[in-house]
Amino acid sequence: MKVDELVVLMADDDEDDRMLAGRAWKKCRFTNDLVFVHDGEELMEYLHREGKYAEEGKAPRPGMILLDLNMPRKDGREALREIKADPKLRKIPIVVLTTSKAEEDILRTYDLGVNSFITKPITFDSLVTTLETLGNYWFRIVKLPIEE
Amino acid sequence: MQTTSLISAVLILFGALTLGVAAAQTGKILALISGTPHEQSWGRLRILMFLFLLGYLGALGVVFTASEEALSLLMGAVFLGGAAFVMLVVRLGHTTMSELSAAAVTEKKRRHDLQRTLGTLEHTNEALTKSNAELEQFAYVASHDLQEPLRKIKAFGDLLGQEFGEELGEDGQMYVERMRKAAGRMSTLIDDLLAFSRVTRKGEEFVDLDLQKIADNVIDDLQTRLEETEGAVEMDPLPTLPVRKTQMRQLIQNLISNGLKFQRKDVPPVVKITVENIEDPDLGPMCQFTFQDNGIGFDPKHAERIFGIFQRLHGRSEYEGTGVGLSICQKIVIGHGGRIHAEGTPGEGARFIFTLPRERVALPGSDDES
Repeated sequence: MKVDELVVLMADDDEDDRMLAGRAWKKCRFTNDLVFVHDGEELMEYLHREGKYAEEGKAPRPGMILLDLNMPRKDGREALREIKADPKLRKIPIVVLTTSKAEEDILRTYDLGVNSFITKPITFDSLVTTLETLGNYWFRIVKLPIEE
Repeated sequence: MQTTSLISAVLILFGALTLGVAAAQTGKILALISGTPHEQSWGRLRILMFLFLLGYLGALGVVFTASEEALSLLMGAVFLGGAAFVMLVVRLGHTTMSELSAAAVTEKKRRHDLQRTLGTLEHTNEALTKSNAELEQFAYVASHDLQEPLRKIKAFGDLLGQEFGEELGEDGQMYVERMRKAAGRMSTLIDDLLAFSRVTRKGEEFVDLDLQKIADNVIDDLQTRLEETEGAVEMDPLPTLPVRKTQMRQLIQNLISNGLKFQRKDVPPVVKITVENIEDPDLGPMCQFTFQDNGIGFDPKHAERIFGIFQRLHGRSEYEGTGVGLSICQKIVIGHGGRIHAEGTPGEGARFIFTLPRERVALPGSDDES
């Protein structure tokens, strides 16, 4: 699998935010797809290829996960802990993208092994810039451990 | 002289001695109860004892003169006197005892009442702390959740302007711009509210800190502002005090930037910081800081108002800000066990004076333990 084909997986329960991120990602003109899951539970199903993601090719391994912290059913902190405890999944870079600015959230998620913590940008333009920076960094500057 | 008379004389003599010592002892009791209603009764008892002592000495004389009749007469008198004496002592004892036990009952009741008052007070304090914490939690959650839809208003406003700018026309774009600016202002308000509610939410340890270092740091951060305005900060050497670090930094920063912000037109702002040790009648040994500026000042009638949350004395276009800075300062100073007040003269400058305890104090309701 090539870097250009890696998908970005975004876990966010907020429809508006998913839409804004989708628009912003399109503006960045990366070849990579941005796919969405709605909460931590669905994120884990995707990553383990269970339930509706069991079908072959339905859930390509993401090159980066954008993770919201406050979500129903299973929140971002729990999902983060599970992913970082799983030897098969813990190499995937995870970027927390949340409304929280709370210091305890920042400390806790870095403690759990998150790769970056970003507070959701307020303007649309800064959202575009943020996603552009993230895409450039994780898919062009750094070397990712690509499996499969 | 007969042997019996001799023994009798010796016995009486010992009796007289004992009585003399006992009568002398009543002096001690009298000293204890001086000024109370018992003083008189005990005084009478004392006189009676000395009279009795005289009777003993008389009896001794009678024994030596060996007058049988006088002796039996005296014996009768001594028996009667002895009984009356015991009666007197018992009555006195009874009054004293009943008073003592009444006092004990009152004392017990007083203690009980005190205990109950203490209990109520403790309960009230607990309820107050809880409701305070709830209020802060509420402010935190509310401002956090309020920020969310606001962000959407701004982001979709951006999108609307970018994607449909031409269709909107000039007026349309202006409306969108105004909408976005208003949302931005509200966002700042909420951020400041959040910062205000966090002052007590985030309980920090008290550590002995060199305030000079903190102030130097703050001035470093404000360097650009100082250069732009050609302003200056002059200060006494600051002491080392037990404080919460981030809060103290915020306090000093708010007060200095406040002094720089409310600059008079064409007058370079100067903030002077002076320190002195004072003795607060209620709070003990304190360090008093004065931040004096040469800015626009304010009408003294607003001296208390300016510490209220979201209170502003000027229009947004004149001086930016949400009116939270000084409320945060007040919260920080009170949280440190000190006091803060402001003095102002319009057109001459403002002065912010606050005190901090020189020694570590136990603060009621501090969230150190949480």
